[in-house]
Amino acid sequence: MNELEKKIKAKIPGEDTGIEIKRSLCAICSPGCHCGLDCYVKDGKLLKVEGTLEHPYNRGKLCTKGAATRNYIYREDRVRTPLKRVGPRGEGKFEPISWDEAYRIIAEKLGTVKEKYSPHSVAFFSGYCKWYRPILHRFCYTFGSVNFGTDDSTCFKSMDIANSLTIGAPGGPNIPNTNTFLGWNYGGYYSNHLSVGPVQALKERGGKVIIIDVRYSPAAKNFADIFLQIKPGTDGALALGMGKLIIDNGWADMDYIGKYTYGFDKYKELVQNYPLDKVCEITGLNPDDVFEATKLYATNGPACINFSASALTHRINGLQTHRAIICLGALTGNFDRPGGNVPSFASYIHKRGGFTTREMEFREEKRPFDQLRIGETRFPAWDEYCDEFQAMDLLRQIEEETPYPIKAIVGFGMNAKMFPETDKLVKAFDKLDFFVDADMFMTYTAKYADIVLPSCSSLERGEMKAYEGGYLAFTKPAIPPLYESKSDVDMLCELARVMDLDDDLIKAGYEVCCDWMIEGNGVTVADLKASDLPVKIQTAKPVVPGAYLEKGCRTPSGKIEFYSKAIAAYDPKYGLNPLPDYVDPLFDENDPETKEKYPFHMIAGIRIPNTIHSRVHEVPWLRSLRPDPLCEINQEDARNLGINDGDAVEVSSPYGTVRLKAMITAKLQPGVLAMAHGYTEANANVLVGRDHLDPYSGYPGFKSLRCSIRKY
Amino acid sequence: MNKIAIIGFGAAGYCAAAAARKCDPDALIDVYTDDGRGPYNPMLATYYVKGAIDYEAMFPFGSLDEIEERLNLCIYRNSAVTGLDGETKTIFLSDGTKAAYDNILISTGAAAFVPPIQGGDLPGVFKMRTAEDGVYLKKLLDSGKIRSGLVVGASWVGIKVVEDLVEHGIPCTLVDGADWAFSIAAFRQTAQRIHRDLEQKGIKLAFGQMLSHIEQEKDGRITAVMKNGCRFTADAIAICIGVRPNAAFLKDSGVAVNRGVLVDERMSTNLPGIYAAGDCCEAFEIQSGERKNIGLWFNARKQGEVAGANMAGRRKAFGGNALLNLAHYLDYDFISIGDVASCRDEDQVYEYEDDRYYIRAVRGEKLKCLNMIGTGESNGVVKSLFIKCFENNQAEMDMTSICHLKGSGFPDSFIDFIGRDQH
Amino acid sequence: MKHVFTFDPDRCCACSSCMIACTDQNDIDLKAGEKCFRKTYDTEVAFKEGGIYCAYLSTACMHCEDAPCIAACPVGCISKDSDTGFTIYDNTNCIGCKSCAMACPFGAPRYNGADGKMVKCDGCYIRVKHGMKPACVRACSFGALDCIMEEEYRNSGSDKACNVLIDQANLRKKEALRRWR
Ligand SMILES: Cc1cc2nc3c(=O)[nH]c(=O)nc-3n(C[C@H](O)[C@H](O)[C@H](O)COP(=O)(O)OP(=O)(O)OC[C@H]3O[C@@H](n4cnc5c(N)ncnc54)[C@H](O)[C@@H]3O)c2cc1C
Ligand code: SF4
Ligand code: SF4
Ligand code: SF4
Ligand code: SF4
Repeated sequence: MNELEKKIKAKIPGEDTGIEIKRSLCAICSPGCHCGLDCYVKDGKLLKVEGTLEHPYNRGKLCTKGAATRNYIYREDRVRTPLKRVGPRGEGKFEPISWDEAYRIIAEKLGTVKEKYSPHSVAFFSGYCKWYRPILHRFCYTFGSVNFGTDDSTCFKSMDIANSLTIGAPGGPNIPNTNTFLGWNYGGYYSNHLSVGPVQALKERGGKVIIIDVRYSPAAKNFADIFLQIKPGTDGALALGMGKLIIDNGWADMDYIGKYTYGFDKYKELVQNYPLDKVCEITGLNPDDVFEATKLYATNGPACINFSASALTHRINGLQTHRAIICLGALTGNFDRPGGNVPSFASYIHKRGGFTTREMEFREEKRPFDQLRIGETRFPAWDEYCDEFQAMDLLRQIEEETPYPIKAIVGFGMNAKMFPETDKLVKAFDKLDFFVDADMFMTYTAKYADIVLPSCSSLERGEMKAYEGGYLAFTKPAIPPLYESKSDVDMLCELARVMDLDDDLIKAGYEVCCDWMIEGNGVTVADLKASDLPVKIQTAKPVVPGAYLEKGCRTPSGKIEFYSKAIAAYDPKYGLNPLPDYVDPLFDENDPETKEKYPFHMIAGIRIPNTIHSRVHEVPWLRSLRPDPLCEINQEDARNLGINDGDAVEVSSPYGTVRLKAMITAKLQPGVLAMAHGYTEANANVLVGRDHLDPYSGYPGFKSLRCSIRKY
Repeated sequence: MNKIAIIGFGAAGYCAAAAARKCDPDALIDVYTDDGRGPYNPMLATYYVKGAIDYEAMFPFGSLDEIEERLNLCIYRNSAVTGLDGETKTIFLSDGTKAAYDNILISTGAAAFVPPIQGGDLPGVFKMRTAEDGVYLKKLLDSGKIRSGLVVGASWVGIKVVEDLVEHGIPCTLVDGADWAFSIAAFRQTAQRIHRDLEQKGIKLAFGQMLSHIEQEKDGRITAVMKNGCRFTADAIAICIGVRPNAAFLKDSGVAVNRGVLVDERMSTNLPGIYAAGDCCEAFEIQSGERKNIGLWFNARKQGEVAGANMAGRRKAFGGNALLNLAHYLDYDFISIGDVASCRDEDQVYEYEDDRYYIRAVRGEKLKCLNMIGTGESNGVVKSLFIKCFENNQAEMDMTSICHLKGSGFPDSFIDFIGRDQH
Repeated sequence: MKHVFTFDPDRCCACSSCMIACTDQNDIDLKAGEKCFRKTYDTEVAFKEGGIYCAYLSTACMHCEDAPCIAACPVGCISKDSDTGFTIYDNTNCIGCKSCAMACPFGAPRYNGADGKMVKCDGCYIRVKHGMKPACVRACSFGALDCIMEEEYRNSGSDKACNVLIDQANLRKKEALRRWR
């Protein structure tokens, strides 16, 4: 090999090698992330990726999934052309059709449903990767349907609602200024890689870290000064017990409580029910550890708490658990102060840029109000705080057709495996007159669609994106769209033209919509596109801790609510509690018979480094890191059941059964099982009952359910 | 100026020259070789035969001219050294030439041993050690005239000849005087698996067969006749029954020789200024603490390096020398670490088998011998753990090795067994 | 500009980004049975006296100072890159004999299924020569894996160099390994 050949092989960018670095972003995971990507491109082919060092958000870092971008976008099951189903639903037999034909069919079918039933009988649903949601949302409303829904029905929203109810704002931990980090269900490494650096820095400057988790995770090993390995789902009881300790030991910040909180007395009364011994019985923890952890958090301030997006709230007691945890910040005066938990608001698609866009107006402008959304009136807190249908009622409504039928679904990246009793949902698809799904890949769900549209990846499109620190970006395609795939927003705008929707904005195209949304921030899409990196927005303001409390919380009382006035206002028929009391995470599955038959506590949906939901299970590089779906089981349990590492096991719940392999570990406690979700061949969510839901938010209890396990 | 002579120019000789030159740019280095080409690697001959490498690749250090220039040596080609006076450090050549040196390295290697039997020189009877042996066999096989082969000696060399025959599609038989293959390194149980797997590849085996002599058949074929009367007829017969260190010329030199030249850790012989390295020597082996002749390419290179540096005035030692045999043939690998002969009935035995690996290990107080099949990529990890348990009693088994072994599918029980004296 | 790989076991989580990056950089064809040059471990090691250590590790070629694999190779495939000090190879003449694996205390050499030839981590030496970090290092979000100039390493007083890691792991007493349970 000569020098040039060696350079080409090593993929060194340069004129001689013909390799160019093009900037894009990784959109594999949730839009709360989306790291900047350096794409090594030659002749329109992607050769490799790296994180963009100069990117203000990720500073060169990528997670495991993002590092596999090349393998992800060149997956063999990419949808290549628009497809029309020719076999039975689910079989996967399709024939290619033209884009014109696809648009024609969609327009016609949706028109028919609208005419025959009502526009509301068409449900619009978005899964990952969420970036096109403002357009789809507006499209749905313009079409005339109230039914826009997304995976937010099972994602992080329950935590968000709990925040809204309690403090009126989201409130992330301000680790750079903290002394003590209470990593409540903090995994970090596998779920939010960029959060690890600040914790490492905290440790290096002598700060303290408490980790509370059901698993002895890498974060517990590498960071924890105190590690509390808690019984799954009992975090609410721990939080209340900690509250009692804080009050009893005089660690509470009474000035702060007096000035900024509401309902302290009722809360104080509540926590009297949670003395240390009782809490330790519920949580399985050692009283000394709980005491030390509480003392550290309450007295070594400023202290902040990890607000776990899903791990805690994917339980049927989840919303109140999170409320109970937030209350600790209020008790100790750590909310909205430097080094505590500091509120900030989204600028554009969940990203907190410190500036405002007209995203919400854009979405809401055309909203119809002439019908109840799917699930409306079932989960009052959801109804109040979320502008979309609670998808956990979709299956019921398709099946029962009450209060009105759902006859068509317009899906973008829809993932049926997100739904409890997935098998029932895909069966219910048979009742639909029409189902169109846009996706990059021929997924399990897409196989049930009548029409499948080929979406392109983030590397193949231009996309507007806000970033923390006051940044906004508009990417340019790093490579042309593969095959006949298109950007999701282009599909929507083109379809709007074909259907002649009454909306000039959408019909004018994505960039015009973006310009409309960012108006007033002193930049245009053209300005953004002129830069390879995110652009600093002049209107962006840094968060000033304390300012939010001074202005008054966005809660009914204007204060932090130990006692939620909003919940108190809900119809008593719901039986909801304005105080963040603890209930058992399995309260609906605790009858003696179920208990005996399904003695294990399953955590369905743990984070492992090489997966994110169902999105990358079929990416060969990532799959190779853990080729088989695994059920983690404690070594003693395994020994008792005669299960060896790697044995084929069958895991069952009252709702379904999955088969996978056993992984024996000491990191889990006895009695607990854990598995990653999203596998087609071992879909965790068939184990979850459709009514195993948090009564406040409608969130399914993915991470606390009863199961049994046996060798087969 | 330091005057250095190197006798024999294989891996050991070459590496000694290179190390000496590196340590002492001014030394006068004379090399005596009985060959006209560069140092070759004997183990490559069979790979040349099967077409895995070109002829040139058998000479990994280049030609004599290149080396002479690169290392600034004076190489006496085709000049076998016939004698040595250890007192005066003088060497003698067959033409009467003699020369005295400050330092002398004996790196004459070893030669394939063919007993003086009747028929040993018949056409079609061959051995395998030198590049010429490779050229001879390749010609023979490429001629298309060989329709059957017999290999006498189920050793590391013999098995490679079997591989050459099999890869040429020639049916072959492997016979040995011992009761099983690789008898100096393999447990009987290991050998049973090796036999089964060889037979599965269509190779015929016969053991307990001591070669008596070779006869020519009327049809031109040749027959190896065994002492027990058994007869094996084939078109070609390879004799691979062992090697002998090339040390005969040292007879009256004063240099202490057992099977090979006896050396210490610095590769120094009993006489000051005279060193030996490679296949011709016997160096200390860690397990027994005794001196053994261990003919390995790695040893030849490392011992040469050590000797070269010491001749140039440095102090270097050769350590970590264990009995080691790796056979890689027909997509199969078998390694033996340690001394199988030291194992006793009362020792603890560990045995494990799955679809990938076969392991048999024996320990007394310490590990004695390991046989492993199919473990190729992990052999170095296990070998270095074996060596460590002799070099450093206190050493714990390190995390990296434990993780490697677990991650490569070795059972915990094995890790326990080999790590036992390290905790 | 000799370089040293460093690894900090207390920063690693076995996320395997490094492996993916190596796969991406070196076009490792998993389908054809090729294996990544780097390997990560999430391993629970039980101590005899009780307790478990949860090891998170990432290993590849350690680029040993006095690399035994070089002398072990009968055809001379393996050598040192004079600039970076990395152990590099040219497997044109490789006969797949696995002598290098027998010499390597870390199990670094890999063998391709298709031709049986040895491949291994070359430290991304071409990248390093062009002022870039090795692909795996670049992909580690947690600072567990790094590759720095030798002087920088010596001045840092660290004991985290990969080529001495194995000894360090020995020296670091058992107590120092944070045990779980
Ligand atoms: C078929 C085969 C397979 C092998 N497989 C392996 C293997 O898998 N792994 C492994 O590690 N090792 C293997 N070996 C062994 C390895 O090849 C030797 O250990 C190594 O080459 C020894 O090198 P050396 O320099 O000591 O000797 P040699 O390579 O034998 O060099 C000695 C040189 O000295 C010359 N010489 C001898 N006498 C004189 C004299 N009086 N004057 C001048 N010159 C003289 C010889 O002709 C020869 O050129 C194998 C050997 C063979 C034959
Ligand atoms: S990328 Fe870093 S943290 Fe992840 S496995 Fe590799 S070395 Fe460990
Ligand atoms: S780790 Fe192994 S392959 Fe790498 S230099 Fe060391 S011995 Fe050679
Ligand atoms: S396998 Fe290849 S690189 Fe390794 S020692 Fe053998 S010939 Fe050399
Ligand atoms: S240095 Fe390069 S070749 Fe080596 S493991 Fe890292 S990415 Fe792979």
